[in-house]
Parts: sequence; structure tokens; C-alpha cells
Amino acid sequence: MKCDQAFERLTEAQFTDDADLTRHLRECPRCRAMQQTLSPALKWMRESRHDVTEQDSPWHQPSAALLTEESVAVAVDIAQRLPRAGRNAVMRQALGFALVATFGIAFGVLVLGQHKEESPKAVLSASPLPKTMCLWTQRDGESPRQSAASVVDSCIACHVPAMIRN
Amino acid sequence: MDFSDEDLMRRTQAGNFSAFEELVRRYRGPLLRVAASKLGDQLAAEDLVQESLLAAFAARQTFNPQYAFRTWMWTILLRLCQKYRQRESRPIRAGGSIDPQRADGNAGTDPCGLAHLLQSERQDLLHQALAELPEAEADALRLRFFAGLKFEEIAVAMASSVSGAKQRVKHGLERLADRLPMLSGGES
Repeated sequence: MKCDQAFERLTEAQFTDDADLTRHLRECPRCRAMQQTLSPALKWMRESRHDVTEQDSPWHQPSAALLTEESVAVAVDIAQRLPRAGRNAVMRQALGFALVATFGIAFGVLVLGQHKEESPKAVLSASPLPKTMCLWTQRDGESPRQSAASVVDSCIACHVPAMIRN
Repeated sequence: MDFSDEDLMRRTQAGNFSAFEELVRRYRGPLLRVAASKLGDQLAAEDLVQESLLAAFAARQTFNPQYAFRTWMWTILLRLCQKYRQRESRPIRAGGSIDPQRADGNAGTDPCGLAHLLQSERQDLLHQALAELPEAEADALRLRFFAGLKFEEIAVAMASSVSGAKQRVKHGLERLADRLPMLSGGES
């Protein structure tokens, strides 16, 4: 049981203790403290629930003197809003997901784009320099950034004798 | 066979009005509990509950049984209570006083008269404490404890989020836990 579920159980109108809740309260000092704080109020609320007078007089449908146009309009308005409220919640959630997804994709494209521009692989693949060219001698020129492998190739080309290389 | 509220509404919509009487039987008590607590006036509460039920009956064809009747009914009651309070715009009568006639009557005829008085006083104190809370917290507490609604249902009836409904109940209980011992003179 999680703390949220424990709170729901603790604040049920008709409370019945159960093993899960007892275990949770034993293990969770925060919920235990909350239960102790709220227990006087919980006791009053639950006891008062049974105290409130309920008259047994039957409901008479014809005695519609209390019915007003305003109250019917309220009922109609709420009836029409209930489905819409549900749909709105779903739509709001979907819109939220869509917005987050759009921003995520846009951000990803932006970052990847920048990353692509600076990528050594991209630079290497775009490099027209031959593998055996000495990068040391070309260091003052406008040679693009090279990968570690091409630096190694370049050094081997200059300094390792040809017979060993072959 | 035990029909769901929505099944009963379908039957009502089809012209079987006794199905609505079953709904009235189910809801009248809890609605009355909440309304009496909210208005602090039993007679006004009874009128308002009657009005709410009649309004639901009159507007039955606009209700979509795919959605919870319970939420609809509770939202109607809360809205009509608000309108009533706006109309009356007078201080809530909850709390404190005990009708001497009621007290004498109980004491004379009922062996449990004193217990009733104490119970009634306790109830008045609670309603007074609830009336002192922010309205949203008090309503959330009433719906949770007097009506037995789930937090999801409270959220819909009060146009809030579920976590908002939980916060209202929690904060309301915290305030009550502080206030009730003071109101009852140390009793808890």
C-alpha cells in the first residue's frame, strides 16, 4: 500500500481497519503522524454521519411546488457539462501529450542538427584529404579537423618505413 | 435484482417513474445530510433536496446514462445550495443553540433524551466548525464523509482535480482537528 492509498482508506466514510493499512501505518512514520493528527476530526465526522436526522417521510413526486425553472436549468446545464467535462479532460490530456511530443521532437531535431554539424564523423566523411597526407606539415593550412584514426594514419605514413608498412 | 443508478435512470427516461423513486430512496438521506450540514437549517435542507431531486427528474431526458448519475445528482445539490446561499445571503444558523421545547420534549418522553441532546450538541458543534472552514474544504469533507463519495467523484462535483480534492479533505481535517477540541471545551 502506498501513502496515497493509505490516505484514501483513512478518510473513508465507513472505515474498517485492515491488515494492509495497519502494516503501512506501522512502517510509514509520516502516515502514522497524519493519522494521529487527523483522528479527532475523523472521529467527529464519522460519528456525525450517523447523527444527522433523516426523515422517513416518503418522497411525493406530485408535490412539485418546490420545482423552479432555475433548478431545472441547473440540472440541464450540469447534465450537458458532464460529458463535455469528461471529453475536455481527455482532450486536454491528449493536447498536453501532443505539445510535449512536438517540443521533444523539435528539441531533438535541433540538438541532433547541431550535433551533426560538429560531428567528427561528419567532418571526416566530408574531408577530401588523402589518408597518407602528413597532417603535421599541413597543420598551418586550412585542413579540417581530423579523426584520431586519420592522425594515426598520417603519422604512420611519414614515420614507419615502407617495408614494414607493406 | 439490484439495478445501477444509471440503469434506473434509463428506465426513468423510458417512462418507468418508479425507477426514479428507487433513486430517491438511495439518495435522499445522503443528500439531506450534506445539505443540512451546509445550510445549517434542516427545513431549508429538506426543501432543497426535494428541489434537487425534482430538478433531476424534470431534466431526466438531458442526462446521459453513460455518465455517473451520482456525480450529476451531487453537483445539482451543491449548485442549488450555492444559489440558495446567494439568495438568502444571511449568516449560517449552524451551531450552538438547542431548542428548549425539543429538549423538554425529549427529556420528558424519551429515556435517552440526554443522549440525544448531547448528540445534537455535538452535531451542532461540528456543523459550526465546518461552517468556519473555507467553503471548498467544508464541501469536500461533507461529500467525503456524509455522502461517502470517492475522491474522483468529489473532484468532478467540485470541478477540481483529484489531488485537489484530496488536499481539500486533508486541510479541512487538519483545521477541524485544531478547532473541534476548542469548540467542545477540550472534548475530542
